[in-house]
Amino acid sequence: MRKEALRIDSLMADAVAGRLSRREVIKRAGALGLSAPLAAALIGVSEAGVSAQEGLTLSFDAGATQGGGGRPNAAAVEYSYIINGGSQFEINRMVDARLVTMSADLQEFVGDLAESWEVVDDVYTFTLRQNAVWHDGTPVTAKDVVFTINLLTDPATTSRWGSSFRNVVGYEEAQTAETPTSLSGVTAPDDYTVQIELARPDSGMLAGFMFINILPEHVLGTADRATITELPYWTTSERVGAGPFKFVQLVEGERVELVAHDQYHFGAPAIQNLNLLFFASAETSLAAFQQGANLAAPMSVNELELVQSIEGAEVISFPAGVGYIAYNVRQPELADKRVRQAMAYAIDKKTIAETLFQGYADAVYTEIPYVEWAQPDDANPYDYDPEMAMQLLEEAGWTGERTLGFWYYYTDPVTAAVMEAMQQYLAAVGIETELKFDDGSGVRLQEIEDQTWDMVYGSFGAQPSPANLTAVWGPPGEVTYGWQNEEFNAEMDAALATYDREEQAVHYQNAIRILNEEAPNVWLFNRQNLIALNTAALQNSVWGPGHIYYFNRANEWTVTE
Amino acid sequence: MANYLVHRLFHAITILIGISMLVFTFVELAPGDAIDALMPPETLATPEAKEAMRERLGLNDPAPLRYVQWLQRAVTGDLGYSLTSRRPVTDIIMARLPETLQLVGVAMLFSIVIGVSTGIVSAIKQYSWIDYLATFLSFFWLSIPGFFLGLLMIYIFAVKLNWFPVFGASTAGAKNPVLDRLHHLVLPSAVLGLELAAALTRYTRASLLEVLKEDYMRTARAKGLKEWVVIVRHGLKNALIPIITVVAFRMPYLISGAVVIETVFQWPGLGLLTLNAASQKDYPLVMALALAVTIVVVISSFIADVAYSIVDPRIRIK
Repeated sequence: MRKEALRIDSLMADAVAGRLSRREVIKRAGALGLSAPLAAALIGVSEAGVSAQEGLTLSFDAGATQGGGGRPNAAAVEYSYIINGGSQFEINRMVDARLVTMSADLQEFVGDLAESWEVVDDVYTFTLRQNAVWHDGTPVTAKDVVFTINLLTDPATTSRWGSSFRNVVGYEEAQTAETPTSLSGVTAPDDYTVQIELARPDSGMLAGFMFINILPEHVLGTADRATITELPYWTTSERVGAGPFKFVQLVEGERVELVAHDQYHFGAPAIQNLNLLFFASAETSLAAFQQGANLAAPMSVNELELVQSIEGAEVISFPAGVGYIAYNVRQPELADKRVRQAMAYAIDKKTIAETLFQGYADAVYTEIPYVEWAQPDDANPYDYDPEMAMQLLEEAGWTGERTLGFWYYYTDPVTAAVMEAMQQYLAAVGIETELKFDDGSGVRLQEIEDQTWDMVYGSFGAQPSPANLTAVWGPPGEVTYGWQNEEFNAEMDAALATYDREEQAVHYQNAIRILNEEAPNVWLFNRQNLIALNTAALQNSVWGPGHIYYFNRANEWTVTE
Repeated sequence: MANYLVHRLFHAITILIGISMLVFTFVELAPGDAIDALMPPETLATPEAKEAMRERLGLNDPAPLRYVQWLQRAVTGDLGYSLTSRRPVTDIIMARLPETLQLVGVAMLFSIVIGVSTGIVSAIKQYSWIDYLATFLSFFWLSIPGFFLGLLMIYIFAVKLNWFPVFGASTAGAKNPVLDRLHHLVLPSAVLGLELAAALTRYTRASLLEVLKEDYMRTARAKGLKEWVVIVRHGLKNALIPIITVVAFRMPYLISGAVVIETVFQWPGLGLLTLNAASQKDYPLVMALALAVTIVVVISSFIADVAYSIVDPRIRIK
């Protein structure tokens, strides 16, 4: 008995000193007659229990950029569903590298693995940086980029990013081929040059690359593509990226631990260890922020006073997306554009932005207010005008007999207040609505599938490129909203067919003018996401919209201990 | 005894199959599917991409067929892959189960020690100030919702006093994982255990008061036994029989209470996982979780039966 106790003691000492892996601890404990859970409980090692972290360490909420409203989903998908993107972009942003990214203010493309690029005669040519290496020390080459594109466009992977390459030569053939077929239009003339030949002009393709992590061919080249997302690879230290930090481990339900990639192509990170924390509740994240255990937490305008009272804390904000009301225009009451325009006039967007959003939103009338050059200057701002709203309703023969179902799905209290305000503004002009909160039970999605829904308040994630308007208001819009406009489609096609910024601007402005007049959506607020940032401890950090890969210069971030 | 065990085992298997059918039916009846979690309508996924994903995950097969397929694999120990994270369900659950058992175990231990001892003192010193205080506090803990108490404790003991960590079960790179783990356990297990402790205080008090009035207690005292012997050997042993039932029946409550507490404290257990899996319609994960919880409950009620028969020989004879 005494000997046994000694052996348990020495086992614990080894575990505590980090000399043993968790697996090893449990194996040895088993040899001593202890059950695995008991051993784990006794020794107190979780997946991460025995990892030591030396040097500068930064811990922050992995959902920091997702905003208060997006939070439950962000925490729900605890790690990225790589091939299909994933809610936890913070992890991918730190571990992986892209060909190109966007500046955090969404104004310009920034080269990541690509040093430069050009488009000549429908051929994109990317010149790669020669100093980029994978986490295992292998150089990143053009072959990896070609591999990634072929992987995503392989129907076996069912990747949602595959269609970004629909205009590339060989795309259709790859979709219908019996065996995996590479895209003939994607080639690597040498180790640091990638050429992508297009079958038809597509000036929007560059924007598609912002969502795509380049993957290592030497590691994943032989993997079975149908089951590639099921590999343990994605959530273990086997993972090989080219981003500023290497994957160390996923601590189930708690955090992802990363360590600096010293050979990162923009320079070795100043921070040695990075812990991306998972929180299921925004309150807990903010409490951890107050305690100093979490240096960046998502917050809402309701917490402004609280955060401003914390020493060393700063509130930063960035574009989150445009809040809109979307309509099922198949419903007879909503088919007349004058009804939808009336709603745009009926809601006092400016007052809501100033009061309920406390200034962290602007009144808007378009989906992509960030891209100034694509905005027509004669668009109707739909300033608050209830008289006009009532007049339009009368012209449209509005009876107000039916109460319209008005869905929303954001869980934060600010959205709930905005919904009530909008309901009252609409009621004032004679439009009765019933607010319906989507608690994730799927009732709303069922209504969308059955095409029985009326209207929904949602948000379109901040887009850096007008090219993506096609994805919403082109043919997919017909499926979701029952709205289709040939003129709009023609303008979008014309814009995508030219690489000249000024020509693009003309067509994009025309397309946006059509959306503004036809009002398939009523666009309301350019919302900001807020982050409580402990700037006393964390310096040089760059933040942007959580759903795209903006350039965050993570290697330059630094913390004071 | 062997006969009894076989009987119990048969019972357990029937319950497990019944529960799995119920859970499957409920998940199936809920509108929407995992595709909505993977590719919400707000993203730019095309209907074709969604259909391809649905086909790939096997969601296009008829429901009864999917249940039978699931059952066939489950009996061989293969619980499939999570629809949303594409990781083996068994791996995910085995990483989480010990965490919940640890939290629930410590909470239970805490509540038994605090609850039973307070109940005893309350009964012996009936109508004293201790009794009144204990009664007041137990009604207080019983009526206060767990999530609120959790947030309150976090505010006072973590944020203001900085005695305990706010969240999680471990600190990255902690020097002493054992102490670190205990440090993390204090707040969530106390919050989780307080309600049960309060209930146990009430039950122990009532039960012991009942026993104290029995004739055999008077007899024991008349034999000249010391007061603590009378109370412990004759009183407590009889008074504790109903308490065992209370503890065993509270096990499912404790586990469901853990769903809330784990969310508030970001404790990486089954509760938090269940919440996420259910909202994402991740049916392989939901099914496996329901099974795991059912197994824990079946085992705990079995332990209660055995414990009962030890304390009360009359049950063994039956």
